[in-house]
Amino acid sequence: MNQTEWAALALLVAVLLVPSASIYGYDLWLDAQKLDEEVQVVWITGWAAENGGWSPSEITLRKGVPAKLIITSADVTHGFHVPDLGLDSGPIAPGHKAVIEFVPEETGTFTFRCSVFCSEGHQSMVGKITVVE
Amino acid sequence: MAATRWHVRDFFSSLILHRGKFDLLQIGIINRLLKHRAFQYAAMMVNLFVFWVIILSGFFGSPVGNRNISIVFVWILWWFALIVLMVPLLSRIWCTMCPLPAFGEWLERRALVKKRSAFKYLSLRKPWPSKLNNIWLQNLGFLAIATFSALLVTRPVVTAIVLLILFVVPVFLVLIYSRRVFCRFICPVGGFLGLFSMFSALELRPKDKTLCRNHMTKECVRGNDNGYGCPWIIYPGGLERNNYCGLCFECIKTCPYNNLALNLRSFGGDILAKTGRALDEAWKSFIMLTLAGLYILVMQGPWGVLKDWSNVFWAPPYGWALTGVGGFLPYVGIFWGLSLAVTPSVFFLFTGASKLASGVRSVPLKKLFIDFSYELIPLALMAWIAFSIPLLLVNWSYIVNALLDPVGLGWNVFSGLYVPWTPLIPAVIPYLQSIVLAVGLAYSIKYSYRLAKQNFPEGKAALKAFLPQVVFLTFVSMIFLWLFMG
Amino acid sequence: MLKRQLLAGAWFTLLIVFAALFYAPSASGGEVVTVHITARQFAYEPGRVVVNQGDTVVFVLETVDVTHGFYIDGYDVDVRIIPGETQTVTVVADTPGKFKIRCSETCGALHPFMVGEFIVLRSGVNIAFLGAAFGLVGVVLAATAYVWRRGD
Ligand code: SF4
Ligand code: SF4
Ligand SMILES: [Cu+2]
Ligand SMILES: [Cu+2]
Repeated sequence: MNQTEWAALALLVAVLLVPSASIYGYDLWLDAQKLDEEVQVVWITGWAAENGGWSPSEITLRKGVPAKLIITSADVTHGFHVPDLGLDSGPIAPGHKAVIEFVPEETGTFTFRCSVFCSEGHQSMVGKITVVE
Repeated sequence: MAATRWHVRDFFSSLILHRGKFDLLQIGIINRLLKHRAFQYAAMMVNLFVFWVIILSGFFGSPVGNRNISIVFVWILWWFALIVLMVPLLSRIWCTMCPLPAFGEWLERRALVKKRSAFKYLSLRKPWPSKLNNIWLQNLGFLAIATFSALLVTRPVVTAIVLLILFVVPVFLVLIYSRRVFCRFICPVGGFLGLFSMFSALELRPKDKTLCRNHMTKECVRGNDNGYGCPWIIYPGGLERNNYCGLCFECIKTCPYNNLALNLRSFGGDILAKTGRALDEAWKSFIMLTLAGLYILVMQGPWGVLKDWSNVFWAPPYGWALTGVGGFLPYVGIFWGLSLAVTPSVFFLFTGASKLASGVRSVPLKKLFIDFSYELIPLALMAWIAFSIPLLLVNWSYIVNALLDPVGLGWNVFSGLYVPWTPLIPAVIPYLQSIVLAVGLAYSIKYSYRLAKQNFPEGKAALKAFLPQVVFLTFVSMIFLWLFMG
Repeated sequence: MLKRQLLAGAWFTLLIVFAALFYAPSASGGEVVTVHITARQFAYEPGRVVVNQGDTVVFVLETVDVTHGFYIDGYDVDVRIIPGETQTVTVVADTPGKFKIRCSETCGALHPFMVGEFIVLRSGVNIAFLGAAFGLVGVVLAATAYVWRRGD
């Protein structure tokens, strides 16, 4: 193989690898953030109840450690609302994201629900946050 | 500067001298570019990158169609560029840069750029079955994909899966049959690219056919040190139509006499070419014409029940009698029945009327039916262009947003920047569509008469045979006009 | 020759009728029309709304499922229809023709195909469609005449 062929082959490999690696790397980066001791990062995706509801629908947070909830919606506009903690993201259009930062101060179980009437099954679009020591 | 001026003058003089044609290869830079071995590789590479990102984003990106580039780039940007710009202006130029068959081609040649000796091809080189030496597979494949289009164009993951399949299949076909059999006989896009490229303003043709005929070594077919033999399995020296030339530009590299020209020409030139006409291509016209209407009806019309049906397994929870699979089946029936049976039958009746009207009995009805079907090409192409106009004008903002946030996961390169959905001149769209339709109709009428004249050279017979065709074309156009404006 | 003159005459008459329709004051319209529309995934019911030019159209909008939008091409209307609420929007139908109603809130997979039609008639006819149809017939006649003359 001559030089041109090698260059062409290198380019081909790069073209296939760079996008794959950046998506994989982004995933790793997300995981790394979740492991951060200082902040607890949780990604939550909203799906209409017919499509599975909140994902995940149960999350656990540690008391006293700052929490960062990153909420996206996958199909229609949803909203993230935890009445007992006084948290509300407002409407989140599909493909957009909202970030809520707070410090859980008491242990217990708190229900979160969707604040935008998103479908027939809107009422059942609920999940729970458990705050532990 | 002087060189430019020379070309401008040259352009006009060639238009006059060569019956309105201008050979782009006369322009030095184009000539050098297309003869460069790395040209096609580079063009494919750009699109390979784009399509690879599209596939990844389809699998791992946002499931929201209008936030994911797999939907936005493929079904708005690529589709629009393909059908509105590339096909009418530059023939099968898409096939020059299409990444789908790239892996197969590189594997068979065991080279990316350079020319390898013919003895080293990696392929069983089995002959393609002669029964399938037509575009029927492409006709059915396109119809099958079109039936599921509502899923395909709205679910990123479906688009990604289909693209992945279209990347893998050609590799196997190459290993068994060699060369571009995928493109010639299978690719669902290839079928209509071939048909519509007959209308294009660009053609690749031998300059002097006698020279080709007398050239014993036929290097454009067998290949030489400069390039491969025609990968599309045609004889470039005998080209009369664009249909199955994928503009890979190997032949302009191999021809020792520089006997090939890449001509700009007037629209629709190939419709009158008598070679290669057959029923498979006739049906391609019927399918394309019918599907253009159905797509406009289903996707751009106000009839909710059609959308429910097209959405395959989706059933809205509030009372439609026929939804989900129960509605999808009649929908499939409408798609296949109309394009394979109803449109051809109506057209057959009008062709019968043409034959009766002409008063000439010696021309076989079947030949007339096939020949006249080529008049539908301009109208069908323009109907598809009309369908595609609102895709871009209404949804252009999705493209910008997708560029800002390629996988729709909120990466948002320029954080916070987001273009709200704002249709561009939406109230003018129906008028634009009608004008495009009228252009197609005028071309179809023009070619209808010329096709009639080919079959009835004598006296007034051609005129009489042509009138029923005008009625048919007007009737079809009125249906489209109603969809746009009524 | 006579045939051609007759044809031209007929065509000319049609044009005059059409021009009269177009320039005469609209024979109807000026009323207040209330239109109830229910939005759902992925359509509006009714899908086609037909009014007269000059009418004041009060759209009363509701959704049976998710949040939808209500946008009319060329009419500067863009509102949200939120579940459980009734949204009202008033439009003066001053331009005749057919205008697509589009959903402007991402509402699910087929959201981009969620369209309705707002058709504004003039003197009881869809003047824009009629005009375009006349135009198209004109194109047919011109193209036919052209190849006819060139062909012989
Ligand atoms: S025929 Fe299909 S696969 Fe082949 S180059 Fe053209 S579009 Fe690509
Ligand atoms: S005719 Fe020439 S440009 Fe066309 S496919 Fe064959 S080799 Fe390529
Ligand atoms: Cu919700
Ligand atoms: Cu909607």
